[in-house]
Amino acid sequence: MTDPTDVLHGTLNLLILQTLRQGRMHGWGISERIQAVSQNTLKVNQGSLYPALHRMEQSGLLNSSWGRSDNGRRAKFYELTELGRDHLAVERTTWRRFQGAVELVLANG
Amino acid sequence: MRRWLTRCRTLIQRSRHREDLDNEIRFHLEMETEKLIRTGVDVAEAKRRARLVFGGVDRFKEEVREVDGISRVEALVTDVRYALRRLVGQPFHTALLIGALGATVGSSIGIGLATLPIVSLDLPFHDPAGLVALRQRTPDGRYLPVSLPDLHVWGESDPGLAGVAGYDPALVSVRDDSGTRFRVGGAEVTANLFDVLGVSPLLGRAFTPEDDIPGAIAQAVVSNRFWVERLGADASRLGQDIEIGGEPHAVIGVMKPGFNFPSGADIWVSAGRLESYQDPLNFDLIGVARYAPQSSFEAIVAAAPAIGERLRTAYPGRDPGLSPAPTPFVQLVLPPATATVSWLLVGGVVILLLIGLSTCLHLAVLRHRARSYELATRLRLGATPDRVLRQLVTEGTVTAALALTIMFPIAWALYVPLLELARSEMPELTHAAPGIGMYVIMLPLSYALLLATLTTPTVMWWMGASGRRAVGTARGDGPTRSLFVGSQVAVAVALLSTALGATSIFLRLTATDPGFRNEGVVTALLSFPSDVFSERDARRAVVSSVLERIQALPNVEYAAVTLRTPVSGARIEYAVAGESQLDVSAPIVAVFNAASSDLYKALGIPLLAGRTFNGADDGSGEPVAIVSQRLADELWGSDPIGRTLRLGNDRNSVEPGAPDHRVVGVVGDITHEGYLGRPTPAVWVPYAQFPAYYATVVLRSASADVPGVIQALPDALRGASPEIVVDRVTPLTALLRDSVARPRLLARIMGTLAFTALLMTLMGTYAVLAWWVSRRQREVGIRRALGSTAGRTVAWVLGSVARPALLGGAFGAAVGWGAQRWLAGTITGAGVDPVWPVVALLLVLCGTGAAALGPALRLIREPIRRALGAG
Repeated sequence: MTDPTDVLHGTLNLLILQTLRQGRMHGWGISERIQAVSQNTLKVNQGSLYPALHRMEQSGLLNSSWGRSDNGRRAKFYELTELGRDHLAVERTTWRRFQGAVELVLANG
Repeated sequence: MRRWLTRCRTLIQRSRHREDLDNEIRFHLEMETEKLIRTGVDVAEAKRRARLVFGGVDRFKEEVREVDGISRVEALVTDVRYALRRLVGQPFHTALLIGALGATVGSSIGIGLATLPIVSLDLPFHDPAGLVALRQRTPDGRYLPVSLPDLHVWGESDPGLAGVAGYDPALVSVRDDSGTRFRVGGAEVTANLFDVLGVSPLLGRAFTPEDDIPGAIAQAVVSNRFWVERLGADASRLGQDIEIGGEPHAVIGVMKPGFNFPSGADIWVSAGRLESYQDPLNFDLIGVARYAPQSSFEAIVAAAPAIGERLRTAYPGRDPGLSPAPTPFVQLVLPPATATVSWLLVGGVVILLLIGLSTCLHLAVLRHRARSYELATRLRLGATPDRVLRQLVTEGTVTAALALTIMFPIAWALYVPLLELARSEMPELTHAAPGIGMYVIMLPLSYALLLATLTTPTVMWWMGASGRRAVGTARGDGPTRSLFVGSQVAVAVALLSTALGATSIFLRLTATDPGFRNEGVVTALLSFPSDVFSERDARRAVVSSVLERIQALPNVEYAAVTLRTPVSGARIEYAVAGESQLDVSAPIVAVFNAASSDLYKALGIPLLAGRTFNGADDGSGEPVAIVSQRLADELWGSDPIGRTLRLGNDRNSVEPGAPDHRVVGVVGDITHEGYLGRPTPAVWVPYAQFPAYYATVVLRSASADVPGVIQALPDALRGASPEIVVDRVTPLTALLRDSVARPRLLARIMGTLAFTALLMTLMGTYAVLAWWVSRRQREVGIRRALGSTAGRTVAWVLGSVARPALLGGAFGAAVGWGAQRWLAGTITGAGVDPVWPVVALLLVLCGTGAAALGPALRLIREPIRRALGAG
């Protein structure tokens, strides 16, 4: 297995939004989930995660609340807002277009 | 919105936010540590690796706090606390700075706000600059009104005019509910006047085109003042009749408060319904028109000759020498001196503001220089220029806010009384009221001004420290201080000299002998309505009865009637020719008046030769006249008694068939415009031989009880006939005072400006020197320890300002002299006195010396040991 790669610049918001689509999650859980789902390919720079979460909360894409984690510890949970869901749809479309364009370049360039 | 609410909540609960963030990161690190422990790593190593994987915890916390807007607020709070600590820690310097800032900028703003209504030509109608006055000019350059048919031709012929209206100002007699007739200012106007001026009634309606048709029902629009004071603001009076000029008029509308155009008008009636206005040669209306959007004043002027041609074709009886003459309407309705006064005020206020700001700027520079060591140390210890700039700007912001608390009461204390003064002296400003709105608008503006001034040296330093711009090495305080003192003294001397000159001109004007005595004289205007006094004999009889009744009043020494008093502001001028001068092409022009016999005694005008009028000079007697010395000299040179003269119907010529008037007396010369006028040739005929529909009663009181006479006079006059309209019962002294209202206003405002400038200069000099001296305590301590005497120390401080003060003062005196000459020529035509620039120079130099003495004495009172310890 190769070492996980840092999340591509500009895609962290998309990954967070997509991850939170499953339900509310704390910061460490989001980080772990991205790494697991990407089969250990993507690694979220943990220090960048929290500024991104707070920025998205300030923008109204996420809500936060304090709760108990699985091991009974007090943790801050984030969840998608309606605006966040709409934003995710837009981000996904943009990403797919970008991805298709890169594929085209790789195939024909 | 939600985002802002979240941010605000975060800001308010900053400590909780910090705690939450700590907990959130701690949870993350604990989870990561546990994960590593589960893979067999020992606890200490797991903790170390977890922190390593996370990265710089504090940096990311700071980043999150930046995202949430916490860092900036906390930095601001810290900076504000630091600024307050510094300001409180240096109470003397803080008081000096805040006092100087608040007082100087506050006085400029207060005076500036008060002058706004004067300089902004605040006329009570919409867009005055878009209006043009339509009159006609005679070949000798005089302006005449136009006729109603003239205005119709203008309106039909010139596409550049969007609306053409006219008005004829007049005093009208009105009968109140008690049956008493009184006179008010009014105007006969075309129905569209209000539309053209862009004003509308508060209640009811304005005139409609149907009201302008000859024979239409008599209707009137009244002013708000009339509505409140005379009709009791009673809504039921709308639509009811009031008697105006002997004819009932239905009140159809009430104008908004402040609209009293033309000057002082309270009643407007339709001109078009009157037959007299249909005559194309009846030149009684002043035309006023509004430009069409695509037109301009120049286009209206260019079209005028063609209009003249059309008028001559349409009305062949017209004098061919008359030509249409459009002028800017603002020039017509505002007195010519207003523009001069405006410029003086604007200049004065700008100068005041510059003085204030230069004081503030200088203090800011001194303060910044005093901190140069501290700033350099902070930069060496690792602070960024941006961080230091933010802190210093915060300090400036706090200082400016504190200065505002002083500035606004000072500004208000000057603004309200000055505006009141301007309103009392200028009738055009009666509707101007202290505007709290304008005052509030000034808040951010003045704050920005203060802040910009205070932070300019800091920003200059920052630009140098950040390498954005090369800033020269710090120079000593000397050149800046000299420039500051010199320029402030120059401005103060110039303003004070101008103000002293203006005051002296005013005082000389009021000391001028107008040729008559005004103490104890009371005047009253009388009108004899034509519906009752149409016969000349009726007017003679009522005037005779009036004089008898006044003479019977206690304490009345002399009583007389005349057409107009010498200070009425209006005069009739006729061409006059002696019996041998009928062929003179340029006849002498004299002020014409009518008088009863005791007028000269009542006014104290000396009888130089012959006699005054007597009972024989009645309607059936030989036409006689009394002339002034100047007219006698110009007509005959000597022996005027018994000579005859003829009067023209206007200023231009005397018709050969005019009746002869035998000169029976010669009296002293008098002025006819109060204090402002020059003695002019004058001729009087007996009132009995010229019984007009109006007269002015002039009586001299034998005692000091002028108010008692004023109170008794109206009843005595109406006792002669209840139909007489009595108006403006006033002491002559008050009328004379009014005749110099404008020079007086100018002198007062200039005086206020100059006095404030002087105070600001003294305060600025004191503040700058006090600051400078306080930074030199150690140097002076060394000098004194080495044997320098107290006297030499004081001389050293005074010497530091003497040279720039002298140079600046001399320059200011020269400017003040020029300004005084210009002022005298523009406002009054009076001469100037060279003593005032010298007096102003001495006053300002003495004041500056005294202001510098304070810090100097403070310096030598300081014990040497303490001074040596000062930094």
